[in-house]
Amino acid sequence: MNISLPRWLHLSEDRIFLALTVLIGVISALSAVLFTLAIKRTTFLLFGISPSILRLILVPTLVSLCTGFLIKRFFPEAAGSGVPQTEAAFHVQQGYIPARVAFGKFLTGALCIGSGHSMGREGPSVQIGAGLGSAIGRWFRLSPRRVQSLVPVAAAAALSAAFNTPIAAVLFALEEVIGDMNASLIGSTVVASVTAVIVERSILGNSPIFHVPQYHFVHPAELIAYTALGLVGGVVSLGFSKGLLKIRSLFRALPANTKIFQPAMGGLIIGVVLIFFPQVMGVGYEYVDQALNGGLLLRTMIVLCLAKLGATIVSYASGNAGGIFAPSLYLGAMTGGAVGVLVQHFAFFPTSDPGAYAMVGMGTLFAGIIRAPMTSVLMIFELTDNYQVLVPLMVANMISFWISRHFQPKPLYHALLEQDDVYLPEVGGRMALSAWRARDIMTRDYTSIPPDTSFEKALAMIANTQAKCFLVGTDGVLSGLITRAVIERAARSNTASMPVASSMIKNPAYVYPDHVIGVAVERLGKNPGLLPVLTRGEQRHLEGVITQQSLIQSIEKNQEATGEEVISPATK
Amino acid sequence: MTEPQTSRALDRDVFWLLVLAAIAIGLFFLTRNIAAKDRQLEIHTAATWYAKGEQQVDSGLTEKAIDSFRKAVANDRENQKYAFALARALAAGNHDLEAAQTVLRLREADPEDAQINLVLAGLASKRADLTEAIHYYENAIYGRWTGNQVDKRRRRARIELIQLLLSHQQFDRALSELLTLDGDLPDSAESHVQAGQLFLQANDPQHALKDFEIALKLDSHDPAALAGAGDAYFELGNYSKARHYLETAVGQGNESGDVQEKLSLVKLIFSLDPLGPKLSARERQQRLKAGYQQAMQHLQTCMGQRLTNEQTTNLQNLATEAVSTQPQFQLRNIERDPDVVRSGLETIYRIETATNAACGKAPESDQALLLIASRHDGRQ
Repeated sequence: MNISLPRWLHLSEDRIFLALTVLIGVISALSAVLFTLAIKRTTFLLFGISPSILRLILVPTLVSLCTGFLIKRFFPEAAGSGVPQTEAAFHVQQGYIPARVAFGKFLTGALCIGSGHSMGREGPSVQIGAGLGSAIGRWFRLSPRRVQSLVPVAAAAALSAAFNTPIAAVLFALEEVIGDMNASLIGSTVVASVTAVIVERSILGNSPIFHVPQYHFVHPAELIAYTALGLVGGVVSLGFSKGLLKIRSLFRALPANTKIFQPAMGGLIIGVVLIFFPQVMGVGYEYVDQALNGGLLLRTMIVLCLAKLGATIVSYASGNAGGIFAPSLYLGAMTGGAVGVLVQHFAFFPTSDPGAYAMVGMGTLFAGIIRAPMTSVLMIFELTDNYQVLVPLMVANMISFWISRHFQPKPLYHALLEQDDVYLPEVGGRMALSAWRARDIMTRDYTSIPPDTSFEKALAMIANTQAKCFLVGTDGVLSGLITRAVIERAARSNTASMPVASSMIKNPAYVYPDHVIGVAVERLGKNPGLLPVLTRGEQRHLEGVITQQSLIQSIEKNQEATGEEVISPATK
Repeated sequence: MTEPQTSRALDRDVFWLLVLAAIAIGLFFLTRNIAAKDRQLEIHTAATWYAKGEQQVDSGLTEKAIDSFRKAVANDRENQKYAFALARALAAGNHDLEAAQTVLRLREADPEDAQINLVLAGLASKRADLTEAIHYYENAIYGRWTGNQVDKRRRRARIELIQLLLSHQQFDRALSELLTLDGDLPDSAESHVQAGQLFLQANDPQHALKDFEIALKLDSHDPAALAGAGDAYFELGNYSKARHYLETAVGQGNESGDVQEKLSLVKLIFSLDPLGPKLSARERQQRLKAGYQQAMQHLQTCMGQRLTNEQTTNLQNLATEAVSTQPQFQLRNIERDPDVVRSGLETIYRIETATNAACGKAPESDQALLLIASRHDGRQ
């Protein structure tokens, strides 16, 4: 690029980053708004005003058949919410999100949610925004650290625009994506979030998502009722999290060739559910609004809560693209509303309207499922413009959060990632050995024996090494593992001319470069002294190997270099 | 990196920043355009749902109408008409809490709107919150009305307020509203009849009579006006005029049970009154004795019922006193002193009053006796 610009226009990376923060705020907001509009238009096109029963069944099934193909073939990262993928990109892949992910998520997300799947638009918006942020950062050739920083910044902007909640979005980026409330990125996330909300409001107006009357905290004894709501909310959150993980693991256990059809299976189930409970279709904020205004009967709220819980689990677990933010708010509003009605009937003290409980319930379920208690408090405050319920909201949130954490120690997003074989570092563990990745301890110094090599020749190849286990493969593609003992025994027998492939371990344990050290050590124990490190997303492509020696050498090398105890390479 | 290389790299960044900014601006306007089109679609969808809801309201399908109006509101939150239709449907479907919240939101935007205040008044009235209901009715009456037949609708709101006040025994306040209504009535028999009936309920037969008379001037054959006038005269104690109007009302086809009942009572009054015109002393004595026996029988029946000790003692004392006065109803006493009849009627009055208080509403003949006694005793 040979363009001559005035001297004052020459920018440092810091200034570029700042400018990008604002621009990414704008672009993330626009992507979130466009995503919302795309979902609405898709719903209208697919269902019209009054869909027939046949249409209710066929639309989610057929659309999910298409999205299943798209997800399986082109956008495997687009399945599910988008928030865990964004967290993984930040913590594991140094902020790297391929540009196609943003496009793929937009397309499949709009189709899945628009075709009636019981999922939310906020998680996908976060991933789309973060994907765009990451791609733009790389386009500007920013340092990996800067690209990584742009992910939560863009995520905050997208969430801010999707939910119209700028403060909660900042907090969410810090609490959930970064996992550190004192992160130095707070300034950038605030700038992006505010920019995004200005853009969003200038397009869609400044109307809150929910229209809620000014509820009041009527009597101090009501805290007892809100405590009960916290307990119920905690149990429902737990039921949702456990149910989702269980059903998802069942779907994942189905044969690999069914993967492409699994979203359609989910679509068919959703179609049937929609015939009986059309209220669970898509995002469902219309019904949340009704619950917040005391417009639903007790029985309706209980039934809708159960239907939404089941529908969301099926939609998500079957591999469709969509989030769980909106469903958690929906479940919360129904749970809270139902508790509110019961409290109103049985309480011995004056109580607020059930709508107030629905409002607190939203935060309660959000805290229990998403595990971001502070974000949930501020989010409900911003969504409803109601300051009066902050105290009950905090009480109920904390109880729900505690129950959920006690019985399901691994947060849902992290547990979902682990089902996909992605492990995030524990919060607070980033300065310790646990934050080391497979890429930090692997070595590229290994001997690879082609699979068609005879045992006789193989014995000659390994004669000058001390290793007890070897890779079998060619051109950096892993075929299996074979031990020295097997080679020696076969070379001395009458099978000496047979290829090593005949006796190799065909499916050895392996890790990806982003796996944490704990997983690598555990899997190393399953192999005879050698753990292949494969490139994620590419069939058996070798990046290196981990051995006991490489592990010890890495630790020793680090100690020599720093003169300190073990610390993470990230701090180097 | 040498300085020219660095400079080139930075130039590249500035260039791409400008390109990105241009893309962002372009995307902004594109998104705004798409959002505007989406808005048009939403407005159209909302109108479709609203029309559907209106049809459902007309067909009496309130719950379906609520659903349709909800969809209209969800698609076009800014449209007050849809929200108001939803609120009215919610109120009609007894979803009072949500209806109130929906209308309160509308009221925040337009506190002067009479229709909004009227719905709120109706909801407050439904939950027996008199203070709130009066507040909203007054806001509605003195608020801003739009559309056709403003005077008629405002009058109807005032009538609703009056009916509410009457149902809560707030007669003074109801009367003050009634007097305002009276000065604002159109020249139609129907309006004056309605006002007259409300005056009657507010215990103001004088004003009631005035309205019924106006109504009869406008339509002398109006059965409701005739019956109302009969009622008013009845309340004023003018039983002959009451009888005249009630009989005319029946003659004009008013077959109301109330009218028949009242006419029968009036006839009974005339047949039982010992101080009626053109009666001989013997007839007076016979009517007085019959009335006395009727009252005593009523008293005995009442004493046979479960009463408090105090009531029983009172009735027993009254019975003893009544028995001691009976010998005075001799023909010669009546011939000599016409006040004997009045004195006898006073005894009957005391018996009937005490019996009514202890045992509830009396049979028709006892009611007639009570009215006769109170009329001649000057108690009315």
